[in-house]
Amino acid sequence: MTVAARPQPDTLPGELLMWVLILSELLVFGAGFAVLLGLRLTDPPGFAAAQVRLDQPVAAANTALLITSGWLAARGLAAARSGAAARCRISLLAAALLGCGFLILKAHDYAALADQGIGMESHPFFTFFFLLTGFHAAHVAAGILLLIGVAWSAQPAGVEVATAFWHMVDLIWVLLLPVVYLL
Amino acid sequence: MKYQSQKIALAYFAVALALFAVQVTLGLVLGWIYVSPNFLSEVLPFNIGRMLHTNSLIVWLLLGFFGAAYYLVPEESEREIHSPKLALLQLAIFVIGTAGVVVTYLFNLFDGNFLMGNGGREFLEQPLWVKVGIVVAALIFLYNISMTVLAGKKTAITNILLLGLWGLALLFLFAFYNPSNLGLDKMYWWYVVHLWVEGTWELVMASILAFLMLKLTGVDREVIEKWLYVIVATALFSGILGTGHHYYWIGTPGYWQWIGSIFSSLEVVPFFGMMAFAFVMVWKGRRDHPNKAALLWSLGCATLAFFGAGVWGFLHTLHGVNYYTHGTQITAAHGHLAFYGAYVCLNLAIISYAMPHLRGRDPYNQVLNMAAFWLMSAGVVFMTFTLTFAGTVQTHLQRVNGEAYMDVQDQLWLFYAMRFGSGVAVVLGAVLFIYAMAFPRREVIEPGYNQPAE
Amino acid sequence: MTRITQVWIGLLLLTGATVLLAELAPPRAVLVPGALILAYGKARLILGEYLELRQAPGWFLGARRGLAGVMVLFAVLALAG
Repeated sequence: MTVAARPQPDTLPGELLMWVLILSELLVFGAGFAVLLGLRLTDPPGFAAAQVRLDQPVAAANTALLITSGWLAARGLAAARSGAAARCRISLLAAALLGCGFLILKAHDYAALADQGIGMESHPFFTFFFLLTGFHAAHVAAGILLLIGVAWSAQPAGVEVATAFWHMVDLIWVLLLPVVYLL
Repeated sequence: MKYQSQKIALAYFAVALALFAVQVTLGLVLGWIYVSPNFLSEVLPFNIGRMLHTNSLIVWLLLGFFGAAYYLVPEESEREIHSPKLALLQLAIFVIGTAGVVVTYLFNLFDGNFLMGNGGREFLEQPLWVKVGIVVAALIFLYNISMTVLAGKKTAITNILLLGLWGLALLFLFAFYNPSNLGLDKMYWWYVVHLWVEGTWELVMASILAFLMLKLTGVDREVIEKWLYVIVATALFSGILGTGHHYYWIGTPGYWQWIGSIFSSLEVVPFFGMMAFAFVMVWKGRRDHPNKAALLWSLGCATLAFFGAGVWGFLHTLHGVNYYTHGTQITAAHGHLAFYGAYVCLNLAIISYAMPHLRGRDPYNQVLNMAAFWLMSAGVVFMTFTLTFAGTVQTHLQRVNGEAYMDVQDQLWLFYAMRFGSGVAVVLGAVLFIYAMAFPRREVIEPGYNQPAE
Repeated sequence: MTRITQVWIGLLLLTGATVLLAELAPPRAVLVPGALILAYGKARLILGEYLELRQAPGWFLGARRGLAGVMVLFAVLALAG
């Protein structure tokens, strides 16, 4: 073992249980992505044909929405830490609003697929598409509620937990984007 | 023992151990039926014996949990149990209900009657009146314990214990819903069965283990609570959607195969966490507690639960594997080691810890108790191996080669004979344990002295 | 401009680069590593800055290594076919 230049593991910032959750979520989504890519090997043309049915511009717009929402959430936390409760609330509610925008676009996405007669059982690709994005969207919805919930009191400790959750949702999406929409 | 009402636990543990004896004895009978299939076929058909084996297991484990709660809640909350009388009433309801189930099934009384007749549903086969009794008893229990905790000090251990016990009781309500569609029936059925053993019971297990570690190792409560929260978080995260691993072949949509495979693979994590927790606490602990037997059971519990529930569970949880192994002896192997490691050892650990206090003696019969641990554990582990091999052979012959079920069973005879042998060891171990608990001999242990005195 | 805002702009630029890459539709041998490297860049920014893992260098290093390993796995799977 090369122990030489390794820095000692130090104290994690934020709530320990949040990190347990983040790691667990990443494991689940990571496993889902790996299985999706693995299944693709059994039928590359079928997966490619399924993937072109997705609306990539909407996905790009959704990425921009979530990233901007994450920026607002981070600003909200900074405001909460400096005691600016009003500024914190505005930032968090704006972040939640963009999250709602994400969900609206996502619903539009699903509706468009449904119009084409595509559902979960249409193709293994779509099974994973709906499972992974649906699971992610459920986290977005939960995150919106959390953000609204902590905006109420604007206490740094609560805001920290909610924004960490929100950044996790963001993180999963940026990993989901290439695997599901591009590769 | 600091609080008088902790004494209630003694009655619960006594009934639990009596049922434990019934359970392993029936196990031995069933093991013999596998060797010689016509044994007692008129008096005690296999399905009835099997029902008694599993139901007595579940009831005694629950009684053990209740006893553990009545023992540890006063100590954690620093006050007496709200109402010891209600606690004894609760026990009486359980005893009457259990006896009712046994009599109803043995003599097939009131067949077809909606209230009095058997339920006919695996594990939830209690007659309706017994189910109602269970709910009433559970309500009494929750009222009693919650009142005690609410009035006293709240600790992470009691919070998690209460969360687990409340969840356990509420999920049992799904036992009353029995749709005529068999697929739906099974779907809700697992809400009770799976979400008990891989959800709420894990919370109970983690909190009792945390209590034992707190007492036996003397590690700071803060450290123990941190571990407890992490274990509980991973248990709930993986266990709830892990239910999907029961939804592979019952008519539920295909995506459950992936949800079940991915989430239930993570179910190893909390069990690994509990094993790491137990060993790290003992390693860090400064206290040299005289009750070595309780420590042995605790460490054995965490270790065997990791292997039985974690490793043996993972072995056949991926749907590609389960397609072949479903319902073979592999399942039986997993079931035996998982229940033994996680819940039997846990109960015997808290009983080993509490009994000396409850009976006002020094830890006694350490040698017998520890011998019982090794005998019983070796028996169950050997049984797990014989059943795993039997299941592997069965999977190949029956599911891959397509041979007929009974032809395959004939060829598994050797494994079943060896399994019966290991069953004998388990029963002897159980008898030894009960003896060591019930009939103390004069045996004084000096605190801090490693070897138990003879 | 605060660091939080710089990170936001960085994330937007990386997203823009991803869109551009997809529009150019290069061969898979370019698309796969390109898209995954851009995703790694975004994930690293979120983890290090927004989730403040940069304050804990040991954990941050471990997280980056784990993330890079996963990206390599994805790339291998995506290019194997």
